[in-house]
Amino acid sequence: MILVTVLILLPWGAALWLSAQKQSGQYLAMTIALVELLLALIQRFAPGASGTLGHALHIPYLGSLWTLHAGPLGSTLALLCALLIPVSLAFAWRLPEFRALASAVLVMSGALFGIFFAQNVLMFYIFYEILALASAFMILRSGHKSRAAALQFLLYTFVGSLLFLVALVVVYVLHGQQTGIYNFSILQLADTRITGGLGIWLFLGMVAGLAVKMPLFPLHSWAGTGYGNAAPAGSVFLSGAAVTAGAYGLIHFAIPMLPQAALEFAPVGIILGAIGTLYGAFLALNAANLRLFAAWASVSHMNLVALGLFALQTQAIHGSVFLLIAHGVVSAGLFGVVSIMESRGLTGEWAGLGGLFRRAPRLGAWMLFFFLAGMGLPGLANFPGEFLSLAGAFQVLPWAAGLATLGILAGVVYFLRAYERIMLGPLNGTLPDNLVDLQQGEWLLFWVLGLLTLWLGLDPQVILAHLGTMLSIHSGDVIAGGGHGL
Amino acid sequence: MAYSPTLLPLLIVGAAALIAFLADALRLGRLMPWLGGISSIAAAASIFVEHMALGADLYWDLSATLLGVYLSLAMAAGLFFITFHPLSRKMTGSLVGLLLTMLAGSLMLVSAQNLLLMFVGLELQVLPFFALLAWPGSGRAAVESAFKYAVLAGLASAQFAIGIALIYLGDGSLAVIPPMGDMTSNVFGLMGVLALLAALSFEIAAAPFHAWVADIYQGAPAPFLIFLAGVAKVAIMGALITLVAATPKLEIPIAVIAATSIVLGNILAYRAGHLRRMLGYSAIAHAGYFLAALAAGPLGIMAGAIYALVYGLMNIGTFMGLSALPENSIAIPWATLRERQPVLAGLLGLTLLSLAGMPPSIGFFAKLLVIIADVHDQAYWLAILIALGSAFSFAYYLSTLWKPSVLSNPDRLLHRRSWETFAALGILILLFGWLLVPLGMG
Repeated sequence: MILVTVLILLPWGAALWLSAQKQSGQYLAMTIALVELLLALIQRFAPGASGTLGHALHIPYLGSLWTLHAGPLGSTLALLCALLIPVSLAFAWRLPEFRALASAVLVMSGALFGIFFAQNVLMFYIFYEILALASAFMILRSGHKSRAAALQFLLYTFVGSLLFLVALVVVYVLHGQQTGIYNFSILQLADTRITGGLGIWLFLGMVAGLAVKMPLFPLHSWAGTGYGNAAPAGSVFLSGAAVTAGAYGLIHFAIPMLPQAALEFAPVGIILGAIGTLYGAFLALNAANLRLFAAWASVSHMNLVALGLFALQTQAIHGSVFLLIAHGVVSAGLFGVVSIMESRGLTGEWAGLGGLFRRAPRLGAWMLFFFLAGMGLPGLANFPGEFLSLAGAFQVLPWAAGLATLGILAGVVYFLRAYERIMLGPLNGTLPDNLVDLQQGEWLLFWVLGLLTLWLGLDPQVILAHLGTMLSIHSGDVIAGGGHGL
Repeated sequence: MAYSPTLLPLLIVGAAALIAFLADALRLGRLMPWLGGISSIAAAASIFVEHMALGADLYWDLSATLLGVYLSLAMAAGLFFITFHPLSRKMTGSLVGLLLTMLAGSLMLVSAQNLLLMFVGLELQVLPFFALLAWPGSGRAAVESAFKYAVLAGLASAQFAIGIALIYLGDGSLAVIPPMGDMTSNVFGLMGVLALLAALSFEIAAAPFHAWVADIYQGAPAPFLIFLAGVAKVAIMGALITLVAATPKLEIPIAVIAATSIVLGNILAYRAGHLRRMLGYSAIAHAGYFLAALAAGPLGIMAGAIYALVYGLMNIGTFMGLSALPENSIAIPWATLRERQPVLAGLLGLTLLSLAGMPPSIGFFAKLLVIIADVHDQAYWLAILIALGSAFSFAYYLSTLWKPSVLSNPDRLLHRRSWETFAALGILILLFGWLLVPLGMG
């Protein structure tokens, strides 16, 4: 209880302290980030640190607003998030807007830890909103500092999450009327009887709130403007860690609360995921610059995650959770490469690139590595996830899964084409003469991410073996028993 | 009317008001805000003690007690706050007297169970504002807004009087809960109640009776808007709660007014482009959220009372923050404000987020309660409208937080050390106020 509470509140305190400081505070932020990583490791691997950890802040009729529960899935995603904090801060190290970016990342990470350890759905919602606000703040204050992009992100996520809130309140009131217990705890709400027609509407409301963060296909357009305008170092965290909140909410809250409706929605979800995978791939193929390219590649992968989730089939959901984690690492690598290039003064527009490999071979090699991982090369992180989610989805809705497979194929094309544009071909005359290749710290950063990618790819069992227990008991029942297990 | 214990808070406030009016002649004006504040706190204490006591035409029921205590304490905080504002230098005694008169009217409004008493309360709280909004020392715009307020509020009062006359014509009783049936039992009563509803909607600026609000918010001096938005409006909301609790038939017209207010208020606020006008227009949307609670039956009455209270608190925070800025500023110069008064800047930012409904501030919990009430009453469309409205409201509230604005002359910013204490207290209330809920319910 104390460990997780510190895990959630420490970054917020640090962000508050950081925003009151005059100097930029790199070392403080990095220390906090490493402490968080350590705490998350302890939380994940220490014995006896799982299950319901404790209650506090009991409000009549709302339940305990500080109910912490550590499941294996939540702890693992928290570990991923804790890993990405120092990575993101390190990529942002020399940026002039480091202070704003670091406080946004710290607030986001605190909110994410809250999300991953929340048992009370209202608590989850509160952290989810804080996450959205902090993400918008990051888009506003870093990179191009675009107010329009931040506003668009904010409107997308807040409209969605307030619809989620209304759907949640309907479930809560129904549960109260059926049992007389008014409480927002998921253990209570998962026990609500909801008749068919209403359930599907409620599930749509919840999907609107949660899938917008992933982002699922028709709700994805904030990703282009958001990732396109934020500093790539911030996008490392935004695309790697923040998007997992939506998927986690679906697995842990929405599907257990409305299992029947989830089953009815499944085909639609699979089709949307498939379209999104393909569409994201096409957008990446035609992306105007490197930032947008990485953004749409991430969207394409996250839609594959959604496809696996909505298939509601053991294999597919295992694959999609695996891909969620792998995508976090690979996407961090991709945006990291973009960030390094921008720190060398390159704009990321295609016209200004070409033949870069001759100037920066080490950067070129790492870029190739992460591009190959993004393509889904066997042996690297994305492959087991992509394979399993598609294999599972084929058994549910073959043609949609086939469509998504086309998206993967397109992935090979767009990654290779982008690599050719950036690194190969004749040396672009506009490139500065004294381009610095990777330096010591950056080198180390890529090694960490790269080894992790390799490890996940070569030994997927490290995560897959625990997935049976990782998915909470509720979602496990839904998947195994076809939604009637409750 | 014979003496009854429920009158005690009104007597305390009234007596303090009389003393304050006399104080200017005796040159004791500077002391009066403190006397006023202390007597307001005494009134709050006596309301708390008289809680649930049934007196002649005054009834401190649960919502009336809640709002009554809030109104008195808000008045006390406001009085202590404006002591440090230059506007309160001239004729301090009369200023405090007028404000306390307004408080007496407000307390009467929330607790009255008699239409005539309600009318007296309405007049008592409206009339002081004619003078307050144009207080010596504020600019021409303030005089203009005071005049507009006088004309329009006079109109609303007249409508209220007509409503009372019609109801009396209908069933010959002036009680809010008449001995036979409710006020709408015949056609005159129905017309009368609708007239009352229109008059009160006018006072809280619900659409389509909202036209005045932006002009007043733009022109009136910020320190007095603390009282107009944070006290007077909440009292009107209290009167509406009494009215709706007694006449369940009002739910449909109220739901319609609520929906129009939410839609219209949000659109107007988004297009305003001026800080004060934006706040004025968003007040329309907030009136809509409040009415949406009232449209939801018995649970909605409680949700409405809490929403009114929270809305008042948020407005007090906003206008306390704005009191430090020059009157005609169209955006908030954050850099200067943060440098001079960091805590006050924090309060202002937090209230703007809270008005938008950002968790975990109390603004979110108030809205959540309204949504729960609406869903409970199966008014799903109202719940969705509230959700969309408040999601949309983030666009304009946050753009006031984001908009870069520079103050040409930083010395025009009022700089008061003591205001930082108020601001710190305000931040605590706004962020953690919801933790007090179990105490109230326990």
